This record gives sequence, structure tokens and C-alpha cells, in this order.
Amino acid sequence: MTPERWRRVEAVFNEVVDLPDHERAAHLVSACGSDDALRGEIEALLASVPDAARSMRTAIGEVAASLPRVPRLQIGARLGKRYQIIELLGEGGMGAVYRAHDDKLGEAVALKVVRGPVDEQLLRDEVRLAQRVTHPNVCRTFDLEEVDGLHLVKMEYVPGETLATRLARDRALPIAECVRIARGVAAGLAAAHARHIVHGDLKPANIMLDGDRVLLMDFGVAWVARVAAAPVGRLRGTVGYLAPELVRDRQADERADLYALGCVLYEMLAGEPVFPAASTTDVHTRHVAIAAPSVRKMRPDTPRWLASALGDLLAKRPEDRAHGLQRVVAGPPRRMSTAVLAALVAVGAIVHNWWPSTTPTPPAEHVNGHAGSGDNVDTLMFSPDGEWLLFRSNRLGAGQPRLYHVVGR
Amino acid sequence: MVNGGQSVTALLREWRAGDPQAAERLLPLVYEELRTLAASYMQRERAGHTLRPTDLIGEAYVRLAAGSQPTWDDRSHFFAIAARTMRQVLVDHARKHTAQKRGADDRPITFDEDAIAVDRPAELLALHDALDELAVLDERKARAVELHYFGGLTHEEVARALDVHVNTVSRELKLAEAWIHRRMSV
Repeated sequence: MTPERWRRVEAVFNEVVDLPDHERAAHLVSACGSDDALRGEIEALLASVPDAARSMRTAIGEVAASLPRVPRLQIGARLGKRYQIIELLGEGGMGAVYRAHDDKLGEAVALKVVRGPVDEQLLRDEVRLAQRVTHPNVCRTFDLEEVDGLHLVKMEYVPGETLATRLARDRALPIAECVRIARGVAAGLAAAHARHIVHGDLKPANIMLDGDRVLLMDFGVAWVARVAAAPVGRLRGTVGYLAPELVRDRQADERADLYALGCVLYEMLAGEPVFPAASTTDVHTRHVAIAAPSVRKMRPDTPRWLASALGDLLAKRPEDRAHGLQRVVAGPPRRMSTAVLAALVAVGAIVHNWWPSTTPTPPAEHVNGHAGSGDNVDTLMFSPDGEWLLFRSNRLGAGQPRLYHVVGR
Repeated sequence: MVNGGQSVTALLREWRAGDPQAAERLLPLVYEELRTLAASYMQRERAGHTLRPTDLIGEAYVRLAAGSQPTWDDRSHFFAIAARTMRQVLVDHARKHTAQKRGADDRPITFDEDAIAVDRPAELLALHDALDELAVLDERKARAVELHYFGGLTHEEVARALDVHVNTVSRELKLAEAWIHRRMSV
């Protein structure tokens, strides 16, 4: 086909492709005139349009799906003198994790096979650091071994599923579950950070859920293989969970883990990432420059203390995040027992001007509703910090303060 | 090995200079990106699925670009090279598996050979050839196809890479797709 011919094909194709079927034929005849070959070509192209994209994707997808996943180990095979491969637990870009039986220990272990080439010194350093973290919320890293030319990071075997799997299935999680998981992760991070050990690639795929247990996996190790795979300097982390300072300055410390925890917590609550991907570079820009969307808009039943702690974790400035971690570790503000509550109500009735004097501003939100009791209570409302549900009574009389009754939290 | 502070500009210079090792460094990423691409292409009917094929490459780019001052051209060039590499990997893989069934097993028994079986490599090779033909006729459309289908870029990203309006990309891709599909099925 000559270039002139191609331009002609393109022009006529563009003229008719978006026309409804019944107008196409007439238009084609007038556009092509006596050039039957041109008309034939255009008709064939038009007939190809509906299936074209799908068939190209299939051709590419099928071959892409069959690319070798190196290194993949044979189930049942023995590795070295010591391990038998039981099953593939997971596979990421930078390697695969297997459950294996360790003859020497006589128990199951997880073997992460790191895909080479890898910076061995860096890997060794990170494994050495990770070995030092012993905490109920951190999956133990035992050792780095080289067997049959493969780098193996030996870790505690944890049954169960990752948070990523859970989120893919359930999307948003119940509030209590979000709190439980976030507290587990936060406690694990806090223990590691106390020893100045950074996770570096905190994300749902690195959080293991085993019944009531929440375990942080791949401490310090996950990012090493990524670094080796991309010739790009020692930037840790995964695109959706990268702290602003990492994107901006390529430098980060423990506080980048806190930002990542914020991203994970947000995702559990909202059912979608803080910044859903339009494209990778857009996500990065937004982590740096755009304030995280309000989680309570996405998930109105998020407790205020949790939303506020989340806001701290997602702070753009690293120095603003530590408080968020403490609050997540501490969990919900302590729940009052019924006895304490009753006492408080009693005290409130006696010292009835305590609330108004400490809160001169009107409550940000309140729910109107009549209590319906014979009491002189008229409005159901939240305290300004959102933590307390109160009944506000009618004024006792002109110039008298209102009574506020704590009814719950 | 890790190359600490290498900038995107420096890497691109090596690529332009034809240093084969420079492109090879992208390979682990390219493999992984292709797997994501495969997953998204094979599961398109599942609504709400938001796999993003370009994430790893995009991530690599951001890492490279951080701390340096890459130009817009650098960025486009980076994605173009990634897409080309992804195409090349697939074509090589498909060719290997049409030419011969697997030969004598020279790999340790610990490796799982079942994982390597190629479905319908001929169609990919037909696509590849058709795309080459199209490049002769109309280079821009061929590049758009490569970036979108092999590189996993969205129409918007292709438009930015080629410096044309997104509507142009969508319109031109429609013709390019139809033309390639027709060549593939002939």
C-alpha cells in the first residue's frame, strides 16, 4: 500500500466509522465512487473493529501469562540437604515464598526465594537487622541461606491469608476489624522502630492475618529485591504506599512506615486506596501534594478518634505522624463501665455547669431528637470532640445553665 | 548490581547509545509487568477490576527521575523503551516455543517445567509482524499500539507520550487495531 493510499483509507474510515449502520453504506458509496477496492478495504476494516481490541489483548495476554516465573520450585522437591518444598504460598515480582519442611528444625518454615540479581551485602545487612525484631506482631526472620545458587530468606511460617487477599475479597472491613489489624501492625512497627529498624515496604500484601493474629512480614527484606530489580537507587516502598518524602527526596526513615500504615488503615476503612491509581506518576504527585480525602466521607461510621489518628499518620510532614501511631497502638479511648457512666451522670447532674463552661463553642454536629421521657431532656447530641453522646436538657430557668447527661460513647 | 544514584537521564543516554546491558536492567521489571498485563487482559470481563499494568514501570521511572530533572521527552522515551522491551520479550518467548518443543532438560529438578507452556504463540507473532508493517505505513499509529497494548499505557498516557490529543489517539487506535486484526486473521 502506498502512503497516499493509506491516507485515503484513513480519511474514509474516519468518516464512516462512527456512523450508524444504515448510513454507512450510502456514505461509503459516495466516498469511494468507482473505487471498489477501496470500498472493499474499508468494509473489511469496519468488520474488524468489534473484535480487534479483544483479539489483540488475548494474543498478548496468553503469551504473557506463559512467561516463565523464575525461579519457581517444584513442589515436593528437596532443596539442599534440609528442606522439602511443600507449597507455593505467594509470588511477587521479586521472588516467591514457599512453605517448606525444615528437617533440622522438624517444622514448617517459609522460604522466600529472592530473584536475582541481588545486592548480597544489602540483603545480608537487612536480614541481620530483621533477625533482631522479636515481637508477637512481627513474623520472625531466621536466616539468609544460599542453597543451589538461590538466595533464601528463611522466615517463620504463618498460616492464614494476607490483608491484600482479604481486601480483594471483602473490600472495606468492619470497624472493629480495622482497629484490630491496625493496632497489631502499629504495635509491630513500634517495637521495630524502638530499635531503629525500618520495614520499608509496608502494604496489605505484607500483613498476614492468622485467626486473631496480625503479623508483619518481610521486615526490611522486601525492598532489597526491588532495588536490585530496578537500577534506580535505594528507594524503598510500593507505589500506593509511598510517603511524600520518599517520592520527593528519596530519603525516609521510620516515619515513612507510619505513612504507609495510614494508607493501609485508610484502605481497610474506605475499601479503596487513598489515591486510587489513575497512573503511577499521578499517584506519586498526589501523595506529595494532595491532602488525603476524608475517611469519614468514605466511611461515615469511622470513629472520630480513629479518623483523627489516621489524619496524623497521613500527614505530609514526617514529624507530624508519631502521635498517630501512639493513638492507634493505644486503641479506642477507654470505654466507661456502666457504673462509672452512672456516677458521671450523677456528678453531671450535681455539677451541672461543667460542660458549658469548658465548651463555649457550639457542637459541630448534633442529632435532634426528643427523649420522650418525663425528664426535662430535649436534644440528643454529640460532644464537640465526637466521643460522647449526650442528652442536653432544657434550661432549668432563665440564666441557669443547661444540664448535659452522658448517655454513651 | 545496584547502581545507586543513577539518573534517568544517564540511563537513557546509555540506552540511546545502544548499551545492551542498560535495557537488560529493566528485564525483571518487564517480566513482572507483563504478568500483570496478562492478568488484566485475561480477566477483562470482571467488572471493577483495577489492575494497573504500568505500575512497576511507572514506579521504576519515578525512582529514576527522583532527584534529577528529566525532561518530558525522557519520560516518553522511558515508557517507549519499556513497551518495546515488553514486546521483544513476548516475541522471543513465542518464537522459542514455536520453533521447538522443549529440549533436553538441563535445569535442576527443583525447577517446575510445567509452568512454561505457551498458548497460541502464532497469534502473537502475527500481531508482531502486522505491527511492523503498520510502522512502515504509519509510524505514529504503530507506536501508539505498542505503548497501549504492550506497554499497558492508557489512551491519555499514550497521548502524552506522543504529544497529541487523546481524541487523536483513540481515533487512530481504532483504525490501527482494525487494520492489525485484519492482517492477523488473513
